[in-house]
Amino acid sequence: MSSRVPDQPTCREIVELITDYLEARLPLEARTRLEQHLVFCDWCRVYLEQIRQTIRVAGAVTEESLSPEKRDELVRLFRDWKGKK
Amino acid sequence: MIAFKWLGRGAIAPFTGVRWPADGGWVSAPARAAEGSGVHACRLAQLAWWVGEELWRVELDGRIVERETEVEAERGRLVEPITAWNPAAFAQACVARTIAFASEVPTPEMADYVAMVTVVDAPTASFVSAVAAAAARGTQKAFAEERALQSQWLARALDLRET
Repeated sequence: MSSRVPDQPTCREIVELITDYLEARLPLEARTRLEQHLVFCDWCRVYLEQIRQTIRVAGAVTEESLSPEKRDELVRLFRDWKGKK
Repeated sequence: MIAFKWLGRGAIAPFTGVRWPADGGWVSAPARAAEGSGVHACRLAQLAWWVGEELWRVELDGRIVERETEVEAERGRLVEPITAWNPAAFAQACVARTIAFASEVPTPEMADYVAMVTVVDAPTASFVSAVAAAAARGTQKAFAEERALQSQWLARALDLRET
């Protein structure tokens, strides 16, 4: 819907800005537009909350809290991902 | 300064998740907060940009910055809930506005907006009505003008004043 309104950000643009928003790195005008979009867009609100939860959970994981098997699996997944880039 | 603030159910800030004390305790921005990270509220003329589940009259204090669609302060506190807030009535007003725009410019796009505005919640109806205004008038300025008219409707319907 919002893609028809040139002056308003689309959901795709909002998703690209969410990390900067959470890290308080967005310029004021962009932040205001993002929040005005969140007022009416359930999907982007859900996405924002999912990213917040991911940061909370990931932030609680330490190297010591992982079993050696999980640590190896993560390293393997990361290498695979890097290899595909 | 007296202003207004939209919150989620239970007086929870929609973006930060901060729960505002219903007993009137002050909520303060973090010390040396970056511009834009203070306590946000709005003037009557800005109400429609931020429609939420609960509307409160708030008191703002400290350095206050006025912007196009919001007011930012160092701290704020809830004064009283606006119990007359009726999201269904506001949404219905937005439906009527959208139908009027579609009558002015009867295109398939405008018919889409009418179909949409009748099935969405109040914040979305407000947005759709503003989009329909911009489409009908062919100017982006009409988007903000429609928000202003919606804000006037809210102030009148809820008998709100800034004193």
